[in-house]
Amino acid sequence: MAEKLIKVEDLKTQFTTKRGLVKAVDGISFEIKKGERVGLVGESGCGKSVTALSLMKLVPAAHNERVFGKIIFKGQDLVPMKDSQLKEIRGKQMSMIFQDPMTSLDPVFTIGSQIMEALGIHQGLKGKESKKRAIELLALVNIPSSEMVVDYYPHQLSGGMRQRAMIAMALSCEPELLIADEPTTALDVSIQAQIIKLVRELSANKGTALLWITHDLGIVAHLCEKIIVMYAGKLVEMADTMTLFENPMHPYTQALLRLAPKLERGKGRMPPIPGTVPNLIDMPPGCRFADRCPKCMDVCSQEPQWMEVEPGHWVSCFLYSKDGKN
Amino acid sequence: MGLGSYIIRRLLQMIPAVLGVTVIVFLLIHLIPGDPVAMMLAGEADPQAYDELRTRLGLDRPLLEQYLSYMANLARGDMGSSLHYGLPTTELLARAFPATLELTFLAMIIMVVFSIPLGVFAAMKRDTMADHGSMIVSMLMYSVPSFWLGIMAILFFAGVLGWLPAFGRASPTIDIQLVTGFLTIDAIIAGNFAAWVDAWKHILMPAVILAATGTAVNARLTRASMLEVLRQDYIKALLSKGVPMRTVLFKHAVRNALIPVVTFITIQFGQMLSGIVIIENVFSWPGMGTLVVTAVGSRDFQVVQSLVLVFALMRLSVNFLTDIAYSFIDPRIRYD
Ligand SMILES: Nc1ncnc2c1ncn2[C@@H]1O[C@H](COP(=O)(O)OP(=O)(O)OP(=O)(O)O)[C@@H](O)[C@H]1O
Ligand SMILES: [Mg+2]
Repeated sequence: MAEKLIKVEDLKTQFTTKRGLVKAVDGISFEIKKGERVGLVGESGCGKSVTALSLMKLVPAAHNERVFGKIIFKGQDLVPMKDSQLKEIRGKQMSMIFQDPMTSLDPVFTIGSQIMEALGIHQGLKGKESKKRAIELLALVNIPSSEMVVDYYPHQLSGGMRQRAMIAMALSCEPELLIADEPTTALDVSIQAQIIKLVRELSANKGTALLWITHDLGIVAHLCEKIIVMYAGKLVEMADTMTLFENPMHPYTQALLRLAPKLERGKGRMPPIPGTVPNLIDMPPGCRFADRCPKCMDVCSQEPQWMEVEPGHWVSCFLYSKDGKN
Repeated sequence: MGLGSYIIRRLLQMIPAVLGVTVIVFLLIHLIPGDPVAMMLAGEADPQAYDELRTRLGLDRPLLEQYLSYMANLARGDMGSSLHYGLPTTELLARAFPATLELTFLAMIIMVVFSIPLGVFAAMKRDTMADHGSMIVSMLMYSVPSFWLGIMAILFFAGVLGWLPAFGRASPTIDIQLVTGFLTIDAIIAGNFAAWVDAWKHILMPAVILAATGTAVNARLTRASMLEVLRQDYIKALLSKGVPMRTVLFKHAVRNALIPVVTFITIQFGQMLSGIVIIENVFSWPGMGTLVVTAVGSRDFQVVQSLVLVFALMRLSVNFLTDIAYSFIDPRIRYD
């Protein structure tokens, strides 16, 4: 279990736009071990999706991006890799499910043909054999009458069913890492719970590591062993789930957790914290949470270090650094 | 629902539209300000001729009866006759219709064959010199009126270079049996190579000019549609499965991008039907566009009426074909 699967080192993803350089992800480092389930939480716009896409090397589709740093996946750095090398990894060793199941399937091809496409590429399956496997996969994600659904077009399925189909597709080649970018936000609550249970079981059975991205602390509390908290393009805290809930160190995490009981009543959205997320363009130096932070100090206008304050517990805050107070 | 029943349903849905068109076309003659009969006779003050024409046109009968007999005549293939040419309208149409159709078909083919690859190419080369270059050219093509392009083309290719004939469908020396009415095809049927080359030389310039605006607009729209599709989640999802970029582009993105393009093409076809009136006159192409101008000029209202009907039916048929094309490209259409 302790073997590491992916190690991200000082990853930066930037977009050149007309308004300026957007530093959507600005120097983040973390790792995921084999079979480990990790949650990545943060407010809207903090760079969670960009992080996920960067790990899959899918940001280049945007044409105006730059990615720096290292993404060491099973000993190989993905950052300098070409598309031809990446296609051996994408879908086969590492795959992804997306936020909105309504838009993440190609509307003009059947569910089956989209699953079979991946099977053909990675496992060389063709024709009847491939279709049989696609039906099995759909059954595996609890899609009823999968022999029929295999010939359906995406628009003939409900959101929950489409997301199951996406999961079937993502897991078709038994990848070692599944990145899930808020795959349940677009679904209603009862379906959410089913999907989470399904992913949890599948990942446990196959030993698939999971990076689950969400606004919702409630979901990751139940699903994940480790939680990473992100704020405005940077990581602010990372710890195993128990530690993070019992001993949150960063004022941002503390604020999130203080507001968390509201989660039970509400729809599970991230509760609001006073103030707004800073603009990611031309960000001033220093701690990004400073202007919303109740414990802000003079030193916070400098860049805090990302450091391990106790074994397995990382935080980036001057409250815990040696030169800071307290 | 299967494709067959979808086609039948769409055909049935066309019936009211066709009837509507016939009503409007029928009323055309009544909507002309003033007395159509007097205008048609253009100053001939002979009351007997006046009454005769009025009776022949059926204008002395009640409106509904007139319409029913108009429809009955249409059903028998009788569209009245031309005062100007002294010929049945159907005979004029039999000559003009294939000429127009051949020109429009070729222009449509040129438009589709050039605009779609150009748009896809520009989208893929987004923000490069090639992209900007091709979009500037298409902007220019779009801004220049087609009659001016036509005249310039005649001056240059027919006048200066002398490569292509300036007007008409065929040289006077060419004589082949008409089968389809499309000279480029009939020449092949007749096995007459000289006639075939001659037909192509004549049709090339007007067809290209007729296609120019549509090609320009459609290339831009294809580019926009393609860029829109490339932004979609499913493109990322396909790449995340390990599908190679080439397959994602040509199998998935292009097909999705074509869905709105099919609509653009229909709209462009409508534009072409008005454009053809100008282009045919610039190139003296003996089609319906030339005929309609002559007929309006000589107040040959029955001919105008029939031409409007044919233009409208062409438009309806294209809408129908578009819907069928849609159902092939977009599975969501058949099932809604
Ligand atoms: N292609 C792009 N060009 C420019 N800016 C971008 C691009 N993609 C993302 N961004 C910016 O990067 C920032 C982070 O976006 P991201 O989608 O990762 O947020 P998120 O944390 O996933 O939010 P949400 O919870 O709403 O999904 C945003 O400010 C966004 O505007
Ligand atoms: Mg997101």
